[in-house]
Amino acid sequence: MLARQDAERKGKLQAFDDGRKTAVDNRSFELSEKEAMNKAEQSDPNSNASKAFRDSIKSNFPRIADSFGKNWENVTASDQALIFKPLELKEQIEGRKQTAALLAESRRDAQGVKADEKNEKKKAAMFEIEDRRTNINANIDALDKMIEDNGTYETFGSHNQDLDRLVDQIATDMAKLQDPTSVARPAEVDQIKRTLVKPGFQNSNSTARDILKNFRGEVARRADGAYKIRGLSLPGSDAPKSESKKPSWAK
Amino acid sequence: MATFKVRNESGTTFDVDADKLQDAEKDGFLPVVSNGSEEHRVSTADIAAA
Repeated sequence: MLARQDAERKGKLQAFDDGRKTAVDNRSFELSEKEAMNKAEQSDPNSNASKAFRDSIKSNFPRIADSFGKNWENVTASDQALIFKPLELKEQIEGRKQTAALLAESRRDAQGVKADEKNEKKKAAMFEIEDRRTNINANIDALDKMIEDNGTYETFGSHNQDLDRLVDQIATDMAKLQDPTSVARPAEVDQIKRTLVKPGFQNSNSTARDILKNFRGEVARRADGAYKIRGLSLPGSDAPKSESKKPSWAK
Repeated sequence: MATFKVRNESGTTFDVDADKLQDAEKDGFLPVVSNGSEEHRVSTADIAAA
Protein backbone atom coordinates (compact mmCIF):
# COMPACT_ATOMS: atom_id res chain seq x y z
CA MET A 1 0.00 0.00 0.00
CA LEU A 2 2.71 2.41 1.07
CA ALA A 3 4.84 1.40 -1.91
CA ARG A 4 1.95 2.18 -4.29
CA GLN A 5 1.39 5.63 -2.76
CA ASP A 6 5.08 6.31 -3.02
CA ALA A 7 5.11 5.34 -6.71
CA GLU A 8 2.09 7.56 -7.41
CA ARG A 9 3.75 10.50 -5.71
CA LYS A 10 6.93 9.98 -7.70
CA GLY A 11 4.90 9.83 -10.92
CA LYS A 12 3.16 13.11 -10.13
CA LEU A 13 6.45 14.79 -9.34
CA GLN A 14 7.92 13.56 -12.65
CA ALA A 15 4.92 14.87 -14.59
CA PHE A 16 5.23 18.26 -12.88
CA ASP A 17 8.95 18.34 -13.68
CA ASP A 18 8.33 17.44 -17.34
CA GLY A 19 5.66 20.14 -17.66
CA ARG A 20 7.94 22.78 -16.22
CA LYS A 21 10.79 21.72 -18.50
CA THR A 22 8.57 21.95 -21.62
CA ALA A 23 7.36 25.42 -20.59
CA VAL A 24 10.97 26.60 -20.14
CA ASP A 25 11.97 25.06 -23.51
CA ASN A 26 9.05 26.76 -25.30
CA ARG A 27 9.90 30.08 -23.71
CA SER A 28 13.55 29.90 -24.77
CA PHE A 29 12.51 28.88 -28.30
CA GLU A 30 10.16 31.86 -28.51
CA LEU A 31 12.90 34.13 -27.25
CA SER A 32 15.49 32.88 -29.76
CA GLU A 33 12.95 33.23 -32.60
CA LYS A 34 12.18 36.80 -31.51
CA GLU A 35 15.87 37.52 -31.22
CA ALA A 36 16.52 36.28 -34.77
CA MET A 37 13.63 38.37 -36.17
CA ASN A 38 14.87 41.39 -34.27
CA LYS A 39 18.40 40.91 -35.59
CA ALA A 40 17.16 40.58 -39.17
CA GLU A 41 15.12 43.75 -38.82
CA GLN A 42 18.09 45.60 -37.37
CA SER A 43 20.37 44.64 -40.28
CA ASP A 44 17.81 45.30 -43.06
CA PRO A 45 18.30 48.84 -44.49
CA ASN A 46 14.62 48.93 -45.55
CA SER A 47 13.19 47.96 -42.15
CA ASN A 48 11.26 50.47 -40.05
CA ALA A 49 13.88 50.25 -37.33
CA SER A 50 16.68 51.20 -39.76
CA LYS A 51 14.62 54.03 -41.27
CA ALA A 52 13.82 55.42 -37.82
CA PHE A 53 17.48 55.15 -36.86
CA ARG A 54 18.59 57.03 -40.01
CA ASP A 55 15.93 59.71 -39.46
CA SER A 56 17.04 60.34 -35.89
CA ILE A 57 20.71 60.60 -36.90
CA LYS A 58 19.91 62.86 -39.84
CA SER A 59 17.86 65.25 -37.70
CA ASN A 60 20.40 65.37 -34.88
CA PHE A 61 23.68 65.00 -36.79
CA PRO A 62 23.04 66.10 -40.39
CA ARG A 63 26.77 66.35 -41.18
CA ILE A 64 27.32 62.75 -40.13
CA ALA A 65 24.47 61.69 -42.41
CA ASP A 66 25.87 63.76 -45.31
CA SER A 67 29.32 62.25 -44.90
CA PHE A 68 27.95 58.86 -45.96
CA GLY A 69 26.84 60.24 -49.32
CA LYS A 70 25.15 57.60 -51.50
CA ASN A 71 25.72 54.94 -48.84
CA TRP A 72 23.39 56.64 -46.38
CA GLU A 73 20.41 54.58 -47.58
CA ASN A 74 22.35 51.38 -46.77
CA VAL A 75 23.02 52.30 -43.13
CA THR A 76 21.04 50.00 -40.83
CA ALA A 77 19.93 50.13 -37.21
CA SER A 78 22.64 47.58 -36.38
CA ASP A 79 25.28 50.16 -37.34
CA GLN A 80 24.68 52.18 -34.18
CA ALA A 81 28.11 51.39 -32.77
CA LEU A 82 29.89 52.61 -35.90
CA ILE A 83 27.71 55.53 -36.95
CA PHE A 84 30.19 58.10 -35.68
CA LYS A 85 33.06 56.38 -37.48
CA PRO A 86 31.94 57.01 -41.07
CA LEU A 87 35.13 55.65 -42.63
CA GLU A 88 34.91 52.29 -40.91
CA LEU A 89 31.21 52.00 -41.61
CA LYS A 90 31.71 52.97 -45.26
CA GLU A 91 34.17 50.12 -45.60
CA GLN A 92 31.71 47.72 -44.05
CA ILE A 93 28.96 48.87 -46.39
CA GLU A 94 31.24 48.52 -49.40
CA GLY A 95 32.13 45.01 -48.17
CA ARG A 96 28.44 44.11 -47.95
CA LYS A 97 27.88 45.40 -51.47
CA GLN A 98 30.78 43.34 -52.83
CA THR A 99 29.56 40.20 -51.07
CA ALA A 100 26.07 40.73 -52.50
CA ALA A 101 27.54 41.26 -55.98
CA LEU A 102 29.67 38.11 -55.69
CA LEU A 103 26.68 36.08 -54.51
CA ALA A 104 24.57 37.39 -57.39
CA GLU A 105 27.35 36.53 -59.85
CA SER A 106 27.75 32.98 -58.52
CA ARG A 107 23.97 32.52 -58.73
CA ARG A 108 24.04 33.69 -62.36
CA ASP A 109 26.94 31.31 -63.08
CA ALA A 110 25.02 28.39 -61.56
CA GLN A 111 21.96 29.26 -63.66
CA GLY A 112 24.13 29.46 -66.78
CA VAL A 113 25.67 26.03 -66.10
CA LYS A 114 22.20 24.53 -65.62
CA ALA A 115 20.97 26.04 -68.90
CA ASP A 116 24.09 24.73 -70.71
CA GLU A 117 23.52 21.21 -69.33
CA LYS A 118 19.88 21.32 -70.42
CA ASN A 119 20.87 22.45 -73.91
CA GLU A 120 23.48 19.69 -74.17
CA LYS A 121 20.91 17.04 -73.21
CA LYS A 122 18.46 18.48 -75.72
CA LYS A 123 21.11 18.45 -78.44
CA ALA A 124 22.10 14.84 -77.64
CA ALA A 125 18.47 13.70 -77.85
CA MET A 126 18.00 15.52 -81.17
CA PHE A 127 21.19 14.00 -82.58
CA GLU A 128 19.96 10.55 -81.52
CA ILE A 129 16.64 10.97 -83.31
CA GLU A 130 18.20 12.44 -86.44
CA ASP A 131 20.90 9.75 -86.44
CA ARG A 132 18.28 6.99 -86.42
CA ARG A 133 16.17 8.74 -89.03
CA THR A 134 19.21 9.12 -91.31
CA ASN A 135 20.21 5.46 -90.78
CA ILE A 136 16.74 4.19 -91.58
CA ASN A 137 16.38 6.36 -94.68
CA ALA A 138 19.86 5.39 -95.94
CA ASN A 139 19.05 1.70 -95.47
CA ILE A 140 15.67 2.12 -97.20
CA ASP A 141 17.49 3.77 -100.13
CA ALA A 142 19.95 0.85 -100.31
CA LEU A 143 17.14 -1.71 -100.09
CA ASP A 144 15.11 0.09 -102.74
CA LYS A 145 18.12 0.10 -105.07
CA MET A 146 18.74 -3.60 -104.48
CA ILE A 147 15.12 -4.47 -105.28
CA GLU A 148 15.15 -2.19 -108.32
CA ASP A 149 18.32 -3.88 -109.64
CA ASN A 150 17.83 -7.51 -108.64
CA GLY A 151 14.32 -7.96 -107.28
CA THR A 152 13.36 -9.50 -103.95
CA TYR A 153 14.94 -12.91 -104.55
CA GLU A 154 18.01 -14.45 -106.13
CA THR A 155 18.75 -18.15 -106.23
CA PHE A 156 22.51 -17.68 -105.94
CA GLY A 157 24.78 -15.21 -104.17
CA SER A 158 24.46 -13.09 -101.04
CA HIS A 159 21.53 -11.01 -102.31
CA ASN A 160 18.91 -12.56 -100.00
CA GLN A 161 21.13 -12.32 -96.91
CA ASP A 162 22.07 -8.72 -97.73
CA LEU A 163 18.41 -7.83 -98.16
CA ASP A 164 17.51 -9.56 -94.89
CA ARG A 165 20.32 -7.78 -93.05
CA LEU A 166 19.16 -4.36 -94.27
CA VAL A 167 15.58 -5.12 -93.24
CA ASP A 168 16.87 -6.18 -89.82
CA GLN A 169 18.84 -2.94 -89.39
CA ILE A 170 15.86 -0.82 -90.44
CA ALA A 171 13.57 -2.67 -88.00
CA THR A 172 16.06 -2.28 -85.12
CA ASP A 173 16.49 1.46 -85.71
CA MET A 174 12.74 1.88 -86.04
CA ALA A 175 12.17 0.07 -82.72
CA LYS A 176 14.67 2.42 -81.05
CA LEU A 177 12.96 5.41 -82.59
CA GLN A 178 9.61 4.21 -81.24
CA ASP A 179 10.85 3.47 -77.72
CA PRO A 180 13.89 5.59 -76.95
CA THR A 181 14.19 4.56 -73.30
CA SER A 182 14.80 0.83 -73.78
CA VAL A 183 16.90 -1.48 -75.92
CA ALA A 184 15.25 -2.78 -79.10
CA ARG A 185 13.49 -5.96 -77.99
CA PRO A 186 13.46 -8.89 -80.48
CA ALA A 187 9.64 -9.03 -80.38
CA GLU A 188 9.42 -5.35 -81.38
CA VAL A 189 11.98 -5.81 -84.14
CA ASP A 190 10.14 -8.89 -85.48
CA GLN A 191 6.85 -7.03 -85.45
CA ILE A 192 8.33 -4.23 -87.57
CA LYS A 193 10.04 -6.73 -89.88
CA ARG A 194 6.68 -8.35 -90.61
CA THR A 195 5.47 -5.01 -92.05
CA LEU A 196 8.54 -4.73 -94.32
CA VAL A 197 9.69 -6.70 -97.37
CA LYS A 198 11.09 -10.22 -97.12
CA PRO A 199 13.42 -12.06 -99.49
CA GLY A 200 11.32 -14.36 -101.67
CA PHE A 201 8.40 -14.19 -104.04
CA GLN A 202 5.84 -12.99 -101.52
CA ASN A 203 5.72 -9.47 -103.05
CA SER A 204 6.28 -8.28 -106.57
CA ASN A 205 9.15 -5.83 -107.00
CA SER A 206 6.82 -2.87 -107.44
CA THR A 207 4.78 -3.83 -104.34
CA ALA A 208 7.99 -4.20 -102.32
CA ARG A 209 9.11 -0.75 -103.41
CA ASP A 210 5.68 0.71 -102.56
CA ILE A 211 5.96 -0.85 -99.10
CA LEU A 212 9.32 0.89 -98.65
CA LYS A 213 7.89 4.19 -99.86
CA ASN A 214 5.04 4.00 -97.34
CA PHE A 215 7.44 2.94 -94.62
CA ARG A 216 9.47 6.08 -95.27
CA GLY A 217 6.40 8.15 -94.41
CA GLU A 218 5.97 6.10 -91.24
CA VAL A 219 9.60 6.89 -90.30
CA ALA A 220 8.96 10.63 -90.62
CA ARG A 221 5.87 10.36 -88.42
CA ARG A 222 7.71 8.24 -85.83
CA ALA A 223 10.62 10.68 -85.74
CA ASP A 224 8.21 13.57 -85.12
CA GLY A 225 6.59 11.48 -82.39
CA ALA A 226 10.03 10.78 -80.88
CA TYR A 227 10.57 14.53 -80.45
CA LYS A 228 7.27 14.76 -78.58
CA ILE A 229 8.09 11.74 -76.36
CA ARG A 230 11.37 13.39 -75.36
CA GLY A 231 9.65 16.72 -74.73
CA LEU A 232 11.51 18.41 -77.59
CA SER A 233 10.14 20.86 -80.09
CA LEU A 234 10.45 19.91 -83.73
CA PRO A 235 13.53 21.28 -85.52
CA GLY A 236 12.78 24.69 -86.96
CA SER A 237 9.76 25.31 -84.73
CA ASP A 238 11.94 27.22 -82.24
CA ALA A 239 12.60 29.98 -84.73
CA PRO A 240 11.01 33.22 -83.62
CA LYS A 241 7.86 33.96 -85.52
CA SER A 242 7.85 37.27 -87.32
CA GLU A 243 5.37 39.54 -85.63
CA SER A 244 2.52 40.59 -87.81
CA LYS A 245 2.94 44.29 -88.39
CA LYS A 246 -0.16 46.34 -87.88
CA PRO A 247 -1.09 48.18 -91.08
CA SER A 248 -1.53 51.95 -90.96
CA TRP A 249 -5.27 51.67 -91.61
CA ALA A 250 -5.90 49.29 -88.69
CA LYS A 251 -7.20 50.60 -85.36
CA MET B 1 -17.75 56.28 -86.73
CA ALA B 2 -18.58 52.61 -87.34
CA THR B 3 -15.82 50.07 -86.90
CA PHE B 4 -15.50 46.95 -89.02
CA LYS B 5 -13.68 43.73 -88.47
CA VAL B 6 -11.51 42.81 -91.47
CA ARG B 7 -9.65 39.57 -92.13
CA ASN B 8 -7.16 38.37 -94.74
CA GLU B 9 -6.92 34.89 -96.27
CA SER B 10 -4.53 33.60 -93.63
CA GLY B 11 -6.95 34.60 -90.86
CA THR B 12 -5.24 37.72 -89.50
CA THR B 13 -7.91 40.07 -88.18
CA PHE B 14 -7.90 43.79 -87.51
CA ASP B 15 -10.45 46.40 -86.57
CA VAL B 16 -10.75 49.27 -88.99
CA ASP B 17 -12.75 52.48 -89.21
CA ALA B 18 -15.35 52.69 -91.99
CA ASP B 19 -13.38 55.34 -93.89
CA LYS B 20 -10.30 53.09 -94.04
CA LEU B 21 -12.13 50.03 -95.40
CA GLN B 22 -10.99 50.70 -98.96
CA ASP B 23 -7.33 50.77 -97.88
CA ALA B 24 -7.76 47.53 -95.97
CA GLU B 25 -9.40 45.88 -98.97
CA LYS B 26 -6.47 46.89 -101.17
CA ASP B 27 -4.21 44.94 -98.78
CA GLY B 28 -6.42 41.86 -99.00
CA PHE B 29 -8.33 42.44 -95.76
CA LEU B 30 -12.06 42.08 -96.40
CA PRO B 31 -14.84 42.96 -93.96
CA VAL B 32 -16.21 40.01 -92.03
CA VAL B 33 -19.96 39.52 -91.89
CA SER B 34 -21.71 37.05 -89.63
CA ASN B 35 -25.17 35.53 -89.38
CA GLY B 36 -24.56 34.45 -85.81
CA SER B 37 -23.25 30.99 -86.55
CA GLU B 38 -20.96 31.58 -89.52
CA GLU B 39 -18.55 34.31 -90.50
CA HIS B 40 -17.69 35.25 -94.07
CA ARG B 41 -15.36 37.70 -95.75
CA VAL B 42 -17.12 39.91 -98.28
CA SER B 43 -16.01 42.87 -100.33
CA THR B 44 -17.38 46.27 -99.35
CA ALA B 45 -19.44 46.35 -102.57
CA ASP B 46 -21.26 43.19 -101.46
CA ILE B 47 -21.91 44.22 -97.85
CA ALA B 48 -25.38 45.49 -98.67
CA ALA B 49 -26.25 42.18 -100.35
CA ALA B 50 -24.80 40.19 -97.43
